[in-house]
Amino acid sequence: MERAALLRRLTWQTGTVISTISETPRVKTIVLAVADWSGHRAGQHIDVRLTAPDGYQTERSYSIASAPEDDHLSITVERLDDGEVSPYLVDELREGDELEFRGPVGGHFVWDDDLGGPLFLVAGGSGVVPLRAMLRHHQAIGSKVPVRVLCSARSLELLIYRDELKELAADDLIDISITLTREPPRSWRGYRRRIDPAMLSTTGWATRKEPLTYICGPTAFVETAAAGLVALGHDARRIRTERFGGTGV
Amino acid sequence: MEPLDGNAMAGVLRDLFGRDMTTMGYECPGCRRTGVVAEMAVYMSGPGTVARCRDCDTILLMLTERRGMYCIDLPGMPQPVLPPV
Repeated sequence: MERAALLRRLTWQTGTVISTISETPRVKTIVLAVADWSGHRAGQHIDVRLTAPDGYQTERSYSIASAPEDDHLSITVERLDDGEVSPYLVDELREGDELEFRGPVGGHFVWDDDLGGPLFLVAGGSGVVPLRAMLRHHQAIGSKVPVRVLCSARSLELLIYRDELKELAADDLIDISITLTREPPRSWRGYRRRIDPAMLSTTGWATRKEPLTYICGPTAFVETAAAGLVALGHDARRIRTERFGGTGV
Repeated sequence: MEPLDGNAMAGVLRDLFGRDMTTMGYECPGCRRTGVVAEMAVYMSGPGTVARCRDCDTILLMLTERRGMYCIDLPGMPQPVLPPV
């Protein structure tokens, strides 16, 4: 009995860092080679575990940044100054290093074509990471589901996947809006404020379209966005949320 | 410390129950709100993990670990129906 129970458990496995990509001064994407990767659904995350020389272990969850169809598994990590794990991942981890993790996990904040749309993806700061996996998946499978995206960042420099978002916006089915809350360039033609119901209404879908909405970001951002959409008359059951502890937007 | 949500417990619950538990339903014994584990307000900065009702703060789940031994209380799930594996 004991052995059967243990075999069913989710085991820790090891990936090898193939490359790291600087997304912003504080954010890196870590690309991993994983033997026997079981595959994942867009929006899922992995738990990363670090072990100190004295045996002390600590773990954190990171959203998977890659689509299921991508060649390699990748995560995108924001460096938190008082973090126990992210400073190591962003500053110290090098190509060839090994990283211990378990996953993929999470069955709620995921999107597949079967779930349909239209989709409204709302991201605050590094909350864009799982939504990027969904957008890449959407492209990889040639989904016909129309998508609207609203990204909030402090400045253009701190907007993660800036170039990729620009390329994705060229797709007729994908409409991307960006708001810069602190330091928009003088020439900036997008939004220049924190998200609010008026912005959600303009950038999202009419309630009669019954959109499927995914909101990811720091807790306060997610609460604002979700409450705003419900106040606009959207069905709370069609809104999926994921909150994380991070820096503000 | 602001709470996270039930997605943050996905890994440890998947480990303990052998399936994704974030889509499992609950009913708050305090205010009768219903939802799924992913929507709970989750506090992880203490010595254990505590999940509360988003509306009325009633405790729905408590999880502690000591030397690989886990203890889990589920006051928000008096009649738990496990999601399929």
